[in-house]
Amino acid sequence: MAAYDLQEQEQMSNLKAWWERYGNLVCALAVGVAVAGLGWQGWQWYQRKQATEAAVLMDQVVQGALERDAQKVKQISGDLIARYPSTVQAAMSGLVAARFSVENKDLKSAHAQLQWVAEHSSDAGMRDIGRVRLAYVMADENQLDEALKQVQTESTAAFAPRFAEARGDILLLQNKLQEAAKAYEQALNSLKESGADTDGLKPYQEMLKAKLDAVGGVSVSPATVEAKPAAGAAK
Amino acid sequence: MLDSIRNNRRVVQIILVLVALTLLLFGVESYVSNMGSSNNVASVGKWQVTPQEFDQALRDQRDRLIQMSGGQVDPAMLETPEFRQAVIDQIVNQRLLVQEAARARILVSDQQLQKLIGNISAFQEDGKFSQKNYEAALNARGMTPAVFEARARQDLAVQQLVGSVMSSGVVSNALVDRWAEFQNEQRMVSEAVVVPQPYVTQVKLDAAAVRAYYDKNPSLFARPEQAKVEYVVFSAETLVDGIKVDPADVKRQYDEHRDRYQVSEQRHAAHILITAPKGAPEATAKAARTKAEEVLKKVRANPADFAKLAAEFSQDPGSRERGGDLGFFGRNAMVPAFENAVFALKKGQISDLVQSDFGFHIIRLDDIKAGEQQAFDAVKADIELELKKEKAAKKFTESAETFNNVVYEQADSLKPVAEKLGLEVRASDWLAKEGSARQPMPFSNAKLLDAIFAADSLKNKRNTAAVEVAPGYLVSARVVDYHAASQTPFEDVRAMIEQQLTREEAAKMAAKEGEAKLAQLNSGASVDVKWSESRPVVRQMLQGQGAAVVGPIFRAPIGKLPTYVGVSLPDGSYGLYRIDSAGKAEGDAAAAVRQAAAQQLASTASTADLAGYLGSLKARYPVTVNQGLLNKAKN
Repeated sequence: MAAYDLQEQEQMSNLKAWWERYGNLVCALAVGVAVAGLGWQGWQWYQRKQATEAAVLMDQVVQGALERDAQKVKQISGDLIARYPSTVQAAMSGLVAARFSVENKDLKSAHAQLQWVAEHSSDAGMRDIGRVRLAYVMADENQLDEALKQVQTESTAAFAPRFAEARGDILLLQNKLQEAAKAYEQALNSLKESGADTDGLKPYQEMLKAKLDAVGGVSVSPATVEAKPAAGAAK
Repeated sequence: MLDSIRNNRRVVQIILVLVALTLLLFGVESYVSNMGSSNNVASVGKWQVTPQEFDQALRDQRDRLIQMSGGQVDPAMLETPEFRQAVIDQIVNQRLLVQEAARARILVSDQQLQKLIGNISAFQEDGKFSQKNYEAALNARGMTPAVFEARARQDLAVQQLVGSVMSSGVVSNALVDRWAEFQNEQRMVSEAVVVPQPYVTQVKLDAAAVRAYYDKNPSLFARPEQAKVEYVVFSAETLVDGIKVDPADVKRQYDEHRDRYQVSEQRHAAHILITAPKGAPEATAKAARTKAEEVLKKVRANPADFAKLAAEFSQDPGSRERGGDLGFFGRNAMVPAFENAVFALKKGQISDLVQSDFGFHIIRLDDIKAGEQQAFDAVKADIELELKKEKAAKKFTESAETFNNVVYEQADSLKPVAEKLGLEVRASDWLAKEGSARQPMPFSNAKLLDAIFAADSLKNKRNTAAVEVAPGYLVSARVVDYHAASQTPFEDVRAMIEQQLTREEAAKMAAKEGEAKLAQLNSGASVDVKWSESRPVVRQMLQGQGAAVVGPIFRAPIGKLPTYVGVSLPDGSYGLYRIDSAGKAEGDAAAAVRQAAAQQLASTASTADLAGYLGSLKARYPVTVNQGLLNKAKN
């Protein structure tokens, strides 16, 4: 029995010494974790509140879009973006509003709406969508050089084919057919590399090939023309 | 590891305290949801796709495709790795979007949810949402409204997310113009084809080359494992014919259940409805009643104008256009208040206001078809069949165990079970182990195929256990002939290979001849070829041989015409093309081309935007697909 007591006493004193040394640290850590936890909960609560309120506005944007009420879409999406800029809904409504602006030939508004999505959305994917579309709007505003700058680099790798295609399209409008062909080739290659050339994207791939074909007519010499279709036919 | 724990006991203690605290604050869910991932077909973020879920999706998608195509789809297509890949892609995309919609807190309003549910026809009665039908329909699928509504919300949120990307595509006008210009280009082209057939007789095949082809392409000549079986099918249906029913029983059934052999009373009515849904505010109901009373006055004043008034005032969209006519209906077809009123009216009579769950009705009874008893002779055959089916179902249930036992106990033949239960032993054709969807019933059932190709069935030629291939449909089979997977012997396929190689050689010779002629044409020499009439070629010829030809024709420079192009065609011939002139489509044709170009650009742009977006989500929720499991999972 005594032996156990001794051992127990030793353990007790060990524990005491440990507590004297680390007690404050443990308490501080516990408090720290609790504060962090509460802060996290608070942040979640705030986010939820924002999203709920944004959802109400988004609902109205969707309604406006269904009723084809461009004014309503523009106004409410403006509201949504101003008040809840960090939500995904802000980007979504920006995209929808820009489409309506384009339909109503209001390129200036479309430009502003897409620029906001491209530069300020919290979601990288949405930013890239905004940027590509901004480039096309700028092309129609006859700012081809600026448009080309927009689509130089994508922020998410998944948009590499789309950005390359947009570069090709703008270069085509600038009548730089050879460079356009290179861009389209790039688009096709990165589509293949990303492994995204699945059945669902066949039509897209066909489109890219058709574009490449269309601009290739001027830049490719007749000698290489003959070799290509023969290889294609053998497949 | 253990040593380091002992040496750093204090550190470990602290860590344990912290872990316990985080568990308290955040729950254990995030720690366990990744478990067992190696057995899953795919994982998307913290979600797993289990083999069961994948199989279910595969089956659903197959059924949907078969149904949509009216059975025209080639079942072999639904067995390919590409199809499996497409299905897993679809599941992955769906999960990505659901997770993102939840993370981004894309919420759906109650109105949107109501609208969706209100428009589903399975939940409607007389074209309107019915709570009773809603609950019954969900019940039948083993779902509660709460679960269904949560799923519908999730679906709507995903739709909103996808819709905001897909429906907001922007296409540059300048680009459409330029693209339409390309599409509008047209070339007048003459064609001369060098066909390979004449060269076939000149081909000298080396016997060694034929053998080499066979040796180099073993997969082309693989013969899968196959078996022939005899089998018995046991189901209630197979029993019906063998069952006898006492005519006295048929008569008794008729006499005891006379009410079941009646044609019930049918009434033909028309109505005018002023809506005031149950639970609407009182003011709305009151306004509706006043309006309905006004209409009723007009009807009383001019009963002959009932149809006209219905067309003008009725708020029942279904019947309004037919002057309120509802046709013939029996009891239990309409809401109770309406039914009671209709069945209390006399022919030609117009009711006072009748209030139902929908609002206020003014009803006119047009006709009555009295109910009548059907004569015994008229329903005798039906009753007999009904009794037979009843007895067959009962006998099936009683004998199912006998069937199971006999095929198991007397496993070296199916005759005993066939004789005992009066069944027919049938013989199958050659069956392959893989590809259940391609086999005829009952071998489209993967479980049965597995049982047939199990070692015991193949080696010992024993009966398989009874397999329920469909509810109430038992099958046992016994292998009578079998061959393992093997190579088709060279001699069996030699002729086929020779033909193929001859075709290829002839095509090469044709191409050589064509290329020689092309060189001559380009050098300006006169060449003996038969040109076709000059025909217009546009870029949009994407089918058949056109696709191979369009690219080269439009890539050819048009500075000096005519110019010549040569193309190896998919069918083995070599096409020579003389471009005579270049021009553009004009007028209506050009406008149509522009519109088509705009649509094409818009739809591919949306597809590409969505694909990019889904790709960006993959960066947020890592996706792994277990390719091994993907292609191994059972059908």
